[in-house]
Amino acid sequence: MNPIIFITILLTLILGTVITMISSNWLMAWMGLEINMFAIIPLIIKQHNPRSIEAATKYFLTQATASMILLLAALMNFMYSGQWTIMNFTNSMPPFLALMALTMKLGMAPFHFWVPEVTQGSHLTSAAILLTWQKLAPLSILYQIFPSINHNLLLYSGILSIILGGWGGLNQTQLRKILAYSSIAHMGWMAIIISYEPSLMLLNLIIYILMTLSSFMLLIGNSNTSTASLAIMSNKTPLTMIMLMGVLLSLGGLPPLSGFMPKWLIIQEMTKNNSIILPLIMAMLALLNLYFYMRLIYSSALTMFPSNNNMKMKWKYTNLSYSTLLPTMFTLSMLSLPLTPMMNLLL
Amino acid sequence: MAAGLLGLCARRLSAAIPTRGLLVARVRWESSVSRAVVAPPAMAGKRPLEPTIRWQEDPDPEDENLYEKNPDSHGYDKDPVVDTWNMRVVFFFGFSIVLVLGSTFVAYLPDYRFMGCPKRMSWMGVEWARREAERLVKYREANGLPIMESNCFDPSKIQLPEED
Amino acid sequence: MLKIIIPTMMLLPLTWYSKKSMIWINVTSYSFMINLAALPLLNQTMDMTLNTSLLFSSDSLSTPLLILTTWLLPLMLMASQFHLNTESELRKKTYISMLITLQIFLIMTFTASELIMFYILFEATLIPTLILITRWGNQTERLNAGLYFLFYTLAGSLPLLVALTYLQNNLGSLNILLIQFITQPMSPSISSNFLWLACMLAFMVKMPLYGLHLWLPKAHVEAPIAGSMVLAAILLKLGGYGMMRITILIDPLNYSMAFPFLMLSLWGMVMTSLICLRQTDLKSLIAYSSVSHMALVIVAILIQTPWGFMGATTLMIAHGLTSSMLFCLANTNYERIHSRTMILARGLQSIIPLMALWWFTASLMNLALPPSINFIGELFITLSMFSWSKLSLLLMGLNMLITALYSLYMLITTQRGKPSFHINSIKPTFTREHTLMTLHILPLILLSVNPKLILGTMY
Repeated sequence: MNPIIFITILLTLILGTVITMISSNWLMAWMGLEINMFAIIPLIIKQHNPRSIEAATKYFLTQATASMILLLAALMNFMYSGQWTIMNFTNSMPPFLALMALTMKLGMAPFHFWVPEVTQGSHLTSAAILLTWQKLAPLSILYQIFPSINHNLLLYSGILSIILGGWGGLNQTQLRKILAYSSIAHMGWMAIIISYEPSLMLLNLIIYILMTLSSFMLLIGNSNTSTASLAIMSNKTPLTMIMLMGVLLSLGGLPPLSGFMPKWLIIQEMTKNNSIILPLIMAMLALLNLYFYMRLIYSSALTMFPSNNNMKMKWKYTNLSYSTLLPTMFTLSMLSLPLTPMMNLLL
Repeated sequence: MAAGLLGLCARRLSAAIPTRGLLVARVRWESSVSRAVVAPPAMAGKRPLEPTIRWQEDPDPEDENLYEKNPDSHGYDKDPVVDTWNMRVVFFFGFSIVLVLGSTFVAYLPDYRFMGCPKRMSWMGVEWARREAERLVKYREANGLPIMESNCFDPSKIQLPEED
Repeated sequence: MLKIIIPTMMLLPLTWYSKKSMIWINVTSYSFMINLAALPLLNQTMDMTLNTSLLFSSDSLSTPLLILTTWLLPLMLMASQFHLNTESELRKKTYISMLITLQIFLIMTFTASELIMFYILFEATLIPTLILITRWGNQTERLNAGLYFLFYTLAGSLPLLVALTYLQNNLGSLNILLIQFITQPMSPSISSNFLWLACMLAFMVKMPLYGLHLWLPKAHVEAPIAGSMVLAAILLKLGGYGMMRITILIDPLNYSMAFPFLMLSLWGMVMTSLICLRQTDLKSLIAYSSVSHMALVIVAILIQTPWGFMGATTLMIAHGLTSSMLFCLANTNYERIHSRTMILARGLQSIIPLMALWWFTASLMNLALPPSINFIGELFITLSMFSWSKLSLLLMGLNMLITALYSLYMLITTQRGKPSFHINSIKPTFTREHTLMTLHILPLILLSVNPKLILGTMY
């Protein structure tokens, strides 16, 4: 892709998200979402193959539907209240529609089917953008309207996302699909906590983005797309395999790593609100996620597959360039748990 | 002492090994020539070529006998110097320092949680608290001090800050 | 406590900056010195704790376990020296780093004075252990064993996290020093029963309770020697330690809730001992014997008497050293015969006679022969159990009998009899191995001279 075009597209992508984030007008927020969607589609079809075109089409159709439903919600809200401001709704129908649109945009449970398909179809870089940056705009709208949304609906959607995100990934061998399912599960956690303590949702989002981006960076370095290709990682880039193990365990939320921090705080917040069974179920379902991360770790770091002798030393001759941000991202996504007491300064 | 005995024993046994090993080298449990305990030097040249694809997971357990090259081996390392030093270090730090010094130290510690239970074990006679008390009494008697006093510290020696 | 934690952390740079030939020497001697530095903690002068800070403190319950942890690191290093001989320098260093990381987490777990921090560190020990089992194990079954280990522990302990946050919200603090003053007796309701269950289940899985023990033989059998040693000696004790810590919080419920688990443990210890009797796999036998001994500890903790607590702490330390020694012995056989099957390693007495002495001593310790520290632990537990219910003596006595049976079975199968033909060529024992056994047995003997050091908080 022509670099000028690429940069223009990237800037447009950022512009769309930023417009959505800063606008207090439904129409502008909707426009931002649309701009954002139109910018990501060329990124998905950066490689011209039928699979990516199919992915782009799927993405376009779901996102356009979601945007239309969101616009409908905004219009209905205008009809009832006579204003375009993103504020508390006066009627119960518009927030319901808006929630539906946003869950569709975020790829949450009843409307999650497009996420693995689209992520699998696109290039690793675009998949990383899809699973991280693309969550920002819809979540910022959800952050503004959550008080008027039916609390139970959010809970149902969230818990369903956690179940399906854990369940769906169990049978996958494709890394992008696995990360997509992990994204669905994490979205579930965020949806559940948003009505209790929205700043924890932000914390969860930040940590999730850090972990997902660093795992994608590690995968991009080797162009790994399937579990089988992880097996030769130890020959090509031995250090990467250790880092990938750390990041994946962190994504699974094992205690000393930073992935545990949002889970812990969410559980604490929910028990504070006298909800005991729900966080327990959520934590147990997160073990499903951990199981498929463990499978990735097994195939990348903890076993060694038969390979050619002359492949053993490959890491000496290949010079892979990783993103400059990787060390920072990796450290943050592994070791930020001891920073938890400082979190109330940030949020 | 213990090291000497153990080493001696090990050396005796290692002396007995070569004859025994040769006899059964071919019928070992692994039943493979390359893994024999004592590989005859003639075999060295006839090694089959290494396969190009191999299972990296478990390389052959090369059952090398450390006594073979170094009859005085202690089992730490192939290099005799490192081996000996490793043995010495373990003996010095493990036995001399931690076990001897450490248990002496622990034995002469003040009574274990003596605030809670001086009565129960007082038959032992080596009670630290009792011993200390007796020493204190003797000291006080020798110096003509009262045996028990309401002042724990001598009030004349306590320096208080001047009152402003 | 930092005087132990920081040196242990500095073991990592020591490992990575050591010359190739000096790795083992440096790390072993340095970790011995760390153990020496931990010994002054035994100077427990008060009923409460020592070295109190907001984060770390040690009392007479955690100190013996802490010292056992620091003592085990050099022993693990010595035990795994042989099977890492052929590995590259980088892998040796990675392996040692894993052991050291585990050590750091364990020290911090035992000294943590905040229950949530205890929980986090308790879970943190999972990762290094998992890597030890699944990366350095021998068979492919190790992957399964790792998954079992991880998911049993996690599924058991997630309710604990929820319960702890709930208690934190109710009490306002989870500091171990503080909770004994602010805790309130729980009302006997269904929800508090579930709270009791959530608090105890994590540790019962870790101990393990009979029925939740399936991960343990797998993990033990598949782990490399250092992994087996640390699992048997320390990680299981985390469960007992946590149970003793947390029973303060859930106090009056124990009397009603403990019954099913008491029965399960009593029954389970007989069952696991019987399983031991029909084992062919040496490591598996030792693993099941751990389950049986840990069932004694669970029983002792659940009946909540001072003698029971004293017996439980004593037995934990004693079993830590004994089972670790048995695993080392099993490993010396494995390194020579390349099989864990007992019948292939029979009659070793005539080939490596000095090792037979260690086998003999270790078996006697395992069956709790009177002067040993294991006996003191079991005696306390039996007596407190007898005072709780006279009938329980049936099962306890049966268990003692079967323990003696399988210990002697293990001894006789490996040491006596006609040696099979293929072991004629095995190499003699090394000074390293004898040193290892001596370093296990000497603390046991020294402790039986002065057992009050490990009698715990109730002494």
